[in-house]
Amino acid sequence: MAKNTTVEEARAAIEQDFKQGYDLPVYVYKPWCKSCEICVAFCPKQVLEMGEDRKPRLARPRDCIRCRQCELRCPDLAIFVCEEKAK
Amino acid sequence: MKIHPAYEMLRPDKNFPNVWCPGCGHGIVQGAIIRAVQKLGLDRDEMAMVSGIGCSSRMPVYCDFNSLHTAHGRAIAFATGVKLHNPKLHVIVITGDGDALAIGGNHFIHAARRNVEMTVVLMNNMIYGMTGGQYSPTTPIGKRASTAPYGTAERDFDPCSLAKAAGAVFAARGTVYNAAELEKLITQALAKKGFALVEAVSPCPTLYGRLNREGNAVKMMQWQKENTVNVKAAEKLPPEKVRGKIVTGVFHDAETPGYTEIYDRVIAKARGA
Ligand SMILES: Cc1ncc(C[n+]2csc(CCOP(=O)(O)OP(=O)(O)O)c2C)c(N)n1
Ligand code: SF4
Ligand code: SF4
Ligand code: SF4
Ligand SMILES: [Mg+2]
Repeated sequence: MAKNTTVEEARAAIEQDFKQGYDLPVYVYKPWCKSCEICVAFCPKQVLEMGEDRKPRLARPRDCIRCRQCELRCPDLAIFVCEEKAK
Repeated sequence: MKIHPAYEMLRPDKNFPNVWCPGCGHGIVQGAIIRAVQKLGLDRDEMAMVSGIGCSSRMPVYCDFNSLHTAHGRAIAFATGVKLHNPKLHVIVITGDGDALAIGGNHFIHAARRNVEMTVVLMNNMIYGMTGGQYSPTTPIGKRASTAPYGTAERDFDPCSLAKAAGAVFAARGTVYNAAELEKLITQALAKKGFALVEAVSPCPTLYGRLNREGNAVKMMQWQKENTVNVKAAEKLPPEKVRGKIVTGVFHDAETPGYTEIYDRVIAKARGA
C-alpha cells in the first residue's frame, strides 16, 4: 500500500538513499507509488518490472535510455530519472 | 543529485500520494501542467490555479500556487473575478467535463465569448468521477454510466469545437498517453493572451473503465496509444478512418484582444484619458 508522507519527508528519504550510493538511472519513491504499472507497461526498453512488493523495480538498468517516459506518465510523481554521473 | 523536478511545485505541508485512484489520468495531467509552468519559467506567485468540484478539481490542493477551490461548475466564474482583480496573474482553471460543460457550461461559453485571459485545462474522463459515474455531456452516445446502464441516448459535446465557436483564441486536445505532447499544448495555451482551452483526455479506470469494460489504467492508455490521430493527419483521412478515434493537436489558434486589455481601454475612457 502507498504510505502518506510530505514532500519534505520524501526529499529527505531520497537524499539519504543517494548518500548511501544509490546509482541506478531511475529512482522509485515507493511510499507514493500506487502500483498502477503504467511505468512498467510503457517503458520502451522493458527496463522495469513489478517486484514482489507490487512496486516497479529496475530489472534491466543497463538498457535504460533515460527517455523520461516513466517519469512523465506516473500519475503519482513517484518515479524519476536520476542525474547522469560524470564519467 | 537531482530529485524529482516537480516536487518544488508541490505544497510542502500536504500528505502524498494524492487522493486519486491508482492510474487515474488526472495525476498525469498535473505533472504536465507543472512542467509547462517550469518550462515558461513562471514564478509560482504569479500563478493562480482555480478549480470547481470533482476529482479533477482536487488538483489545486496539491500544487503550491495561489489557489481557489470553489463551487461545482463555478471555477471559470471565480477565475474571471481573479483575472479582473489582478490582470498580471496567470490564471489556470482546473476543471472536469461535468464541472465545465454540464453545470458550468454557461460560464464556459461566456468566458470564451468575452475572451477572458485564462488557460482552461479540462480533464475529460467522459464521466462524473467523484459522485459515482453518472454520464456527462462528453460521454459518447451508447457508452455506459451508472445512470445509463444500457448506454446513454445523448450525443456528446466536442469541447474544442464549442470553445472555438464561442470565441476562444486557442483550442487543443491531448491525451495522458502522450504526456509530452500534452505538456507542449499546455505551454502554448499558457502563452496566449485570451481564453485558451486544453482538453486533456484523462482515463477514469475506476468508473468509466469498469462500467464500459475497458480494463485498467494500462489498458485504457494502450487504447489511447492505438487510437489517436494528429489533427494534421486526420484532415487528410476519410471521415470513416477518424470516427471513434481521439484527434489531438491544435484545432484553433487566433489573435484577438483579451477582455482585460479591452476593459483597460474602457477604464481609460471613463477617466477621460
Ligand atoms: C451544486 C452542486 N451540484 C452537484 C454536486 C455534486 N458533484 C460533485 S462533483 C460532480 C461531478 C464531477 O464531474 P467532473 O467535473 O467531470 O469531474 P471528475 O470527478 O470526473 O474529474 C458533481 C455532480 C455538487 N458538489 N455541487
Ligand atoms: S527512462 Fe525510459 S528507458 Fe529508462 S526506465 Fe524510464 S521509460 Fe524506461
Ligand atoms: S507509474 Fe508511478 S504509481 Fe504507477 S507503478 Fe509506476 S511508479 Fe508506481
Ligand atoms: S473515480 Fe475516476 S476520476 Fe475519480 S480519482 Fe478515481 S479514477 Fe480518477
Ligand atoms: Mg469527469
